Amino acid sequence: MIKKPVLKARNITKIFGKGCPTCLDDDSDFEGNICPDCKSVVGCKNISFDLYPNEVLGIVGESGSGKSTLVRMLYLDIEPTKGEMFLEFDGDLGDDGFSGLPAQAIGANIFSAKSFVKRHIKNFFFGMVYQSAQLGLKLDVTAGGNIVERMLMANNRDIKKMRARASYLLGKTEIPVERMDEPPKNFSGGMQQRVQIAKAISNEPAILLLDEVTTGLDVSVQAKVLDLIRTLQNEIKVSMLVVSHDLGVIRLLTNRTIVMKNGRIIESGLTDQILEDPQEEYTQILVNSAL
Amino acid sequence: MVRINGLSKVFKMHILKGKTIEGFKDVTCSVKPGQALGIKGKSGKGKSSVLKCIYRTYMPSRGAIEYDSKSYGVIDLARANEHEIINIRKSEISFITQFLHIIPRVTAIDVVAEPLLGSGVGVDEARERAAGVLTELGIPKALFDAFPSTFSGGEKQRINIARSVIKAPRLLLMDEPTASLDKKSTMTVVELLKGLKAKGTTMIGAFHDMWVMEQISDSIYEMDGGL
Repeated sequence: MIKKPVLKARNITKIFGKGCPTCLDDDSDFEGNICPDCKSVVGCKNISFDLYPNEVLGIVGESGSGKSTLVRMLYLDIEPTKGEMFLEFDGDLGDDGFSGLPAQAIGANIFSAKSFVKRHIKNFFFGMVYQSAQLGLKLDVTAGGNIVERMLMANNRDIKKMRARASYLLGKTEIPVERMDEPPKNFSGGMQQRVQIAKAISNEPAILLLDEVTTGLDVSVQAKVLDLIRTLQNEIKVSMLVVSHDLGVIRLLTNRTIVMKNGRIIESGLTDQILEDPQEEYTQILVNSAL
Repeated sequence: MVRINGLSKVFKMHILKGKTIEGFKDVTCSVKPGQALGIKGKSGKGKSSVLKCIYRTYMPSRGAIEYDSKSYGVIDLARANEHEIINIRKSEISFITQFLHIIPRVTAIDVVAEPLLGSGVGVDEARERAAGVLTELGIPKALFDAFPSTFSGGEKQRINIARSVIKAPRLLLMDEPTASLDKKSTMTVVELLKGLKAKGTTMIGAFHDMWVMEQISDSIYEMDGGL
């Protein structure tokens, strides 16, 4: 009845600095995010969790708690110092969608996979929306071009089909299709964010990673982006990891939530339970700080 | 259907220098399938907290909540894992909370229809059934496509009730469902709940209004612990 996780993260640790047994051992722990012995900065420490099919999992925590570092490791942008990630997918995402994991990725720790396997997973399995559109888009290339580029990487070759899909996705994200051939540098922040989302879902990923997608947008634009994500949630079979420091966003979008502090998971549970009956001191402070 | 045994809830408030607050203590009660249990007690005695523990919005501190689940057999809701709770909430247990939690920019009819969509019912059928429940609860048709954030307290509460009962849950938890309603709406809601019970829904509810409690409940548990 309960399906198998689509992503399993196990003991993922990222140390910025040379590292030493104190900060690298799974069993050792200390206060704060600076190693007391080698003074390295702890980005993430011993992060383990499961993401289930069609699930929306929230990650909350203050700035510097390691949320973005974690998501970028999962998206294979940066390498973890240690730890493992396993992926599993036995569904079907439709005709043009993702058709399966490469054989080399099944049952294997993706972090230590060969680079072509990683590339395949990045292009087919994940979609990523960065906090800053500069990281997720080529701002000088047209909006349509950005989306088509992503589809090319996922082995699409028919330019007519790809353009049609790009214009369909831009319509879905409420970007006027007439502006498809304009570069996103001409767009507002909210529009850029929606182009990023269109790009991220163009290859019908199994997992969508959303890193602070509404941060810095004004509330009416935030509303449009959130509505878009809610629509996607209902319409396409995708698991999502939603990183945000905004508890309202977490409440609206997620079923389960992980709370991070100093690079560690300090609490996790059902979202309504985390918000109404938080167990840890930091979570209580966080919940009581919300407006 | 539900057997609660020695259930207690203590809140440890780290932000109040580790002070502990007792929500309620040693609650033991049960309800048979198709029956309704009323919980009575003064404000602050922990009626809502018991319901929230059953729904697992609160983490129970001690005790057990044995529930005869359709998909899992006998399961202790106090200890079930998150995914079991999510699945049970989706398909078996509904909660009429004291206040409607607004979903921004979603119309009344879609708020009510949403739980059905999650279980594979088509959009048109879900909206049709939602319209049926809303009409039964006396919500004027003109409001179906409006946003509940602009509604009166009584209208919001009826939307909340409609959303919680649309799937005819196996177990319905209710926290003062009629507190913000006028006499006429209260009677409509009581009729709706009676009808639901006749069709087999088991209920546990906290009530202030003795008349409503007596109309719906087959047995009553009184809370006298707590603060």
